[in-house]
Amino acid sequence: MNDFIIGTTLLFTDPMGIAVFIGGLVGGLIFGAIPGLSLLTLAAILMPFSAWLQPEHAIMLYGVIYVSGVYGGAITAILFNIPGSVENAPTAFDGYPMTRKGQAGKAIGFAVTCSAIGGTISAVLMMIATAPIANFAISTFGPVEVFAVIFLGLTVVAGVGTKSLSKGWLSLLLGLFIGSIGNDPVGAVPRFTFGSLYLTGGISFVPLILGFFAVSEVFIQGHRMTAGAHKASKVSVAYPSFLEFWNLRVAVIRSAVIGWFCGLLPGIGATLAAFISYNEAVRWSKTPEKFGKGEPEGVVASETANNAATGAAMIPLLALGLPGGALTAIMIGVFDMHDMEIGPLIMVEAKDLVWVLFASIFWASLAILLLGVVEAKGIVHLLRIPFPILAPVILLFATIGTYALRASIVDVYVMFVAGAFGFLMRRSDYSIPAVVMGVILGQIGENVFVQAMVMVDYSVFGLFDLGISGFCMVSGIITLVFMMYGQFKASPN
Amino acid sequence: MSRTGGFLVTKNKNIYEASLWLTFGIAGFILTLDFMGPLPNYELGASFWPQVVLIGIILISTSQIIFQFFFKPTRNYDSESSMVREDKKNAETRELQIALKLNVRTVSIFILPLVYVFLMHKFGFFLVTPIFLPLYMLTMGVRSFATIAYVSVGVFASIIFLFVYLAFTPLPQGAGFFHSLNGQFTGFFQ
Repeated sequence: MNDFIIGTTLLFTDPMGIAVFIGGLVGGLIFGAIPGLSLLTLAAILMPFSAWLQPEHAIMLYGVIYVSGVYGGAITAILFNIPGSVENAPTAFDGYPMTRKGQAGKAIGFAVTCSAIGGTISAVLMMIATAPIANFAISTFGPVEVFAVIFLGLTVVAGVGTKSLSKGWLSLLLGLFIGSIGNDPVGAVPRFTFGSLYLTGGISFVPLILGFFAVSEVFIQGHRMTAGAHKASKVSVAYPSFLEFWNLRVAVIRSAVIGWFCGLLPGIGATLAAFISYNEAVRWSKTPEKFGKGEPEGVVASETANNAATGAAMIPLLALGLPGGALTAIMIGVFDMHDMEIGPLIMVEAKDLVWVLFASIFWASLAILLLGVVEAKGIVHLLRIPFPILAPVILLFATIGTYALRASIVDVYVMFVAGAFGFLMRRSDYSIPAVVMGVILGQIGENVFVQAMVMVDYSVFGLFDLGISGFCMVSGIITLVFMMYGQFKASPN
Repeated sequence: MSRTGGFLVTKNKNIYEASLWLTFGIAGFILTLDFMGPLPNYELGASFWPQVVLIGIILISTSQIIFQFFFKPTRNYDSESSMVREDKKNAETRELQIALKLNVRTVSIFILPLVYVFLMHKFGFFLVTPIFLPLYMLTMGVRSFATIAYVSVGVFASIIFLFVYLAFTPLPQGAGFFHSLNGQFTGFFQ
């Protein structure tokens, strides 16, 4: 507790520290919300400047932008179906349908509060036990366990956002197929590339997500507009009541735990956290058919988990020097610029600085709650902008966001092709969330599957070992059987 | 549309869709044969994962086709009231009318963004975007020229401030002469 107080004091007794904290908070929110201005862009821009800051301010700045940026992406996902970053994509699955139903204020309210809860829980756990938890997670969760968790997640995806299980499965399999395009993860053998250099690197998530969500939405609304059937989203600033939050308490706790454990795993972090947590929310729900159509629990699951992953991602970074993602890798550079080497000794050599980081993540999580409550009342008024004005702006931001990723015009074409496919698939009741989850979980899944199969000597039964992997695999199969049985019972014959 | 007629349309649509998926699955599987075989440090080879996925697509689409041939709409019609049935029928008809309503404006909504990207690649972001923004708003139905002008200028200025001045984001520069022209614009704004 003393360490936390010292960290907080170092943060807030200096006017420069307060300015950096507020700047990081607002900057993270803006850069996280706008496609093309990702957290990484902000982190990269600030890196040279951080050399001029005091070490505690520089490190604190990165902690704050990480927390606020992960939340920031939820706003555009909810209001305009444009996820600010990949980890906010599941938020759009239910957040945007809530906006269409006139519940934008509620959706943002759930997102803000749950982001704050997830971030705070994560920060507290991070402060309590960084080193032992890092060792436990890294020794317990190997490729076999991670694959089993992904398999369990995939088994429920097919039911999200569609009435037909077979269409859900076809959507998911299409996503998995798209994820397999490009060089294979072991021997770099080109697959489905047709000699194209662009395709050898695989299709990036960002153009697909922006295409399937933002562009297809513009096409759908534009089409309805020309047919005279467009209905504008109703503007509502109603914040969720305490009772509504209380009813979702189990989902919040479950998502925080899932997000936190996913955040611990190097290289996986917030993206997998949000997707797995969403899938689990569907699995445990009494009304899974409501997901993808504006179910608040979907927003809660995704936003709690991706923010819970932020604090957890610091644990392997600080305790073992393993970055969980690109932003934590940049943080290694920031520590390096201030002559500090990340690893087990950092807790001894630069204890005060580490506690400044912990305190900044904790206070940033609480600050987004305050900022978010104010924001929820104001930002929903953006929905008053008529769609014909909004449409070219959405397309423009999506285009810049996609092009900025790797300065490739082909990515932009991919985005529009994904938009056209998204339009057709949504019209035919296929599940866009399932396609997106298939691409993301498929790419991570194949990587760990390859390692897992080598570890179990190519025996599928090795995946059903006693312990976490066996439990997840069996649960996945049971889920699959139940879903098929449910669909069979509901079919007309 | 009569009950039987509607059912037949849906049934045919489902069979066409499933056939498309089946063709896609088979074609994909044939392509995997090009890179089949074990790798030095991975026995299952590069084709294993996509083959499992494609077999899944083939199995589901085949079962869909088989299911459609034995499908008879019995339960729903018996259990629903005539009002609900009528509402559903009206909603379906409305959706179908919207889906079939194609005119120049509708086609422009889909084509304009592609033309924009193509021209942006040739002439660069700074020259093409100020034309695309008002044109797309016009296509979407905005009729006030003042609104179009204010929004176009405002959005373009915000983009330049945020992406060019503040974040140094790379934007398409065009080709040949236009590449250097856009480069000069970028230098000016930064």
